[in-house]
Amino acid sequence: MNVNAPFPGTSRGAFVARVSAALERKAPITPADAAPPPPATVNESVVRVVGAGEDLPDVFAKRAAAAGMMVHKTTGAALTDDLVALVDSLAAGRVAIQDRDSLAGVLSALRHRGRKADLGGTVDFAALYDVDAGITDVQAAIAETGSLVCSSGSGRGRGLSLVPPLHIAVVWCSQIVPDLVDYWASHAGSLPQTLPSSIVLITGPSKTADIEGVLITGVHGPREVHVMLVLDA
Amino acid sequence: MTPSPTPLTPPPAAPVHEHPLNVPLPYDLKPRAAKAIGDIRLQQFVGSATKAKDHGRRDGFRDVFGDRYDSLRTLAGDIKQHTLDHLDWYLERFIDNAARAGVQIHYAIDANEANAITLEIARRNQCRLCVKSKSMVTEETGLVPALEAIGVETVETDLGEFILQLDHDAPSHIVTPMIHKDRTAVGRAFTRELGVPYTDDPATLAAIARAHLREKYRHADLGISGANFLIAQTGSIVLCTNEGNGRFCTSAPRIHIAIAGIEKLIPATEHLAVMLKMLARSSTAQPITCYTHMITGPRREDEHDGPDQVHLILLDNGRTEILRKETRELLRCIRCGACLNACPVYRRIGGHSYGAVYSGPIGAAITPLLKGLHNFPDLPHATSLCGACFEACPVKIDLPKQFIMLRKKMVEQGITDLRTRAVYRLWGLMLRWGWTYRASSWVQRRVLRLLARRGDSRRVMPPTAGLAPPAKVRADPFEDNAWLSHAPGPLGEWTKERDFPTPTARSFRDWWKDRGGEQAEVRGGQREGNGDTR
Repeated sequence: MNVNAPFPGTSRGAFVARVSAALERKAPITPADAAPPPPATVNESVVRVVGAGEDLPDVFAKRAAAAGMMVHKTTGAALTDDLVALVDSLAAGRVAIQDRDSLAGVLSALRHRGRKADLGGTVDFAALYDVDAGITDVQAAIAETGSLVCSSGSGRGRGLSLVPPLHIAVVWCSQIVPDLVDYWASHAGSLPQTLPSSIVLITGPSKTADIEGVLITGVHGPREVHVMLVLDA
Repeated sequence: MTPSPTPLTPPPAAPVHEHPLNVPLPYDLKPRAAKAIGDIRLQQFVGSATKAKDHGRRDGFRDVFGDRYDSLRTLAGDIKQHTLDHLDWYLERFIDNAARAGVQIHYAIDANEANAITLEIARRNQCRLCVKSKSMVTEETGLVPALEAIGVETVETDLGEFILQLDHDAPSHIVTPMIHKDRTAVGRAFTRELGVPYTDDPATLAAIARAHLREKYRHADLGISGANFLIAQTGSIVLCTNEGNGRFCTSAPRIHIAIAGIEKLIPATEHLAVMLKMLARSSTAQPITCYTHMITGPRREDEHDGPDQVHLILLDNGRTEILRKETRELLRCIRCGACLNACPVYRRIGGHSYGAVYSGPIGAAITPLLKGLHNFPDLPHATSLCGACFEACPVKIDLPKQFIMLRKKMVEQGITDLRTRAVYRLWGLMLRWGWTYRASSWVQRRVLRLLARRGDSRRVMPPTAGLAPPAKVRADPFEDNAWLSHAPGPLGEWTKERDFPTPTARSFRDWWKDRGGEQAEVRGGQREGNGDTR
């Protein structure tokens, strides 16, 4: 098989030219063509739901709970103990933890208690099917929807928040942004080369209502999502 | 939730029928619609599910946005319209940026090209097992049978689509594909195809699917998805899902192929925020879907999982035809399904009656454009033009206007049949002059009331269904509440499904004249009574 042969299909030029023709341009677009006028302004007074002035940890906790996540409040000092206690209460035998300095204490504490705990970077995607709980940090959290933003960048990955039946996410209060508008505006300068391959907004446990509209949680992704909300950070 | 008691033996299996979307052309909607209307169970599932979602949508927007809802719809519509108005520019920008992120981009004019590209990627990488997340575009191109034909086992992983695949059935709703099926049908399909003991408890059924599909993710070497949005600024593909299967399909296998129509583009991430606020609320009344996944190229060097290759197939397949000025707004559609849920016609006839992948009002408008008006001449008429779809649409697509335009095109292209043309010509003449109008309504009144007088055609409807009829039922057909149940000729089509009210004994004009209405008009347009003179 000749792997260098071109793929089937149409060329880029011919493909875009059809679009230009449908738009009644006299000639297909070229890089020299001027940029279009800017799109409609995303008017804050129309789209914003949560403002910066609100009690963000409180709004976030309420919306996250409404989305079906279990929110546990803690402090920086008590984080490790509370995480270990949560893992105990969930009877998670095997745990994988994201490789973050802030979570380093959890790994040794869990091992100390005889749990099988590993760093996420040492457990590949296929091995995650046998892990009971994944502990991750978040890139941000969104108060409006109670969403966790999990990025695959900086040595993280995609599997920890997806494959194990339990996902435990640690959110520092300072990471909470008010509104979806704020989070996506923070990407205004993002470039394709510098973005991680995967950013996922997680809002609740995996769910479906495909069978007669009956709501079922834990259909493919995690059955439970626990949020450790660190209030003094 | 109480699981329903499990019967010892499954109910009798429904025969495995022909694929619902293999229809002879030109497609005749009426037999299927009639069958759907006669199917009481279908009426119940589709009716209650769509109503619940429609109410949920309205409540969700009202609670969060209140009076701003309409401005929000305008904004979302403007963003999409702007992108479409400059689609070639945004496409170029998107393609450059996606390539910078490491995406391999392919261009497909039609379904055959899209499938040929997918098969070639599968062949070159010796793929054996493909896991697929829900994608209307792949339904449009018929991708799954094409992959299976070259020996790539292809598994639908969205729970609804998985069940439809087991049952050799087709989706009947853009968002909730198996809205036409109940739990016993799922139980039967699982027993027959997966060899598990019969159950019709939804939670147990979902758990069976979870275990079965996890084995597939573990071994799959190809993942296929659609796309909800493409972001020109970053070259990203955005997927909005609830179950998590979409994340598995795009993360577990070493190759990910996304297939997207060119209309999915939006300019930048700030516009994604607006679209996300609209999509899930319009669709399932959720503030946002469980997973909003932004994929920007394959796994990076510093990431420890994710696919090695990401391919994106940009699909035209008739979209540049719709992009022409007068129909362009139809491409704003974000496939939320709100128009289906709001539509009084969809609620009654269900998705399969539309004879094509896209059903409901949006399907009735785009299918004739994608597949030929002469092939689907019934669809522009599969609407009451009530405007519920327009009102529900988060990007303000004026669907009623589009239906009327399609009907006009049918006349221009000579697709409308002779009888219909003759009837409308006659009607036009009747409305043309005062005397023809008066004469024809006199004749109509007499004829219809005479017909209603025939014993078998006449019955008197109680004023409100469910209430006892009034003590004194007026059965005289010359009184004003008789109904025609079996009209003759072409009118019979109408009375097949509902009764036709007989015209009143006296016309409105006569009544008006008796009241001295015309003199009042002559007096200078002054209204009687408590004069609302706006």
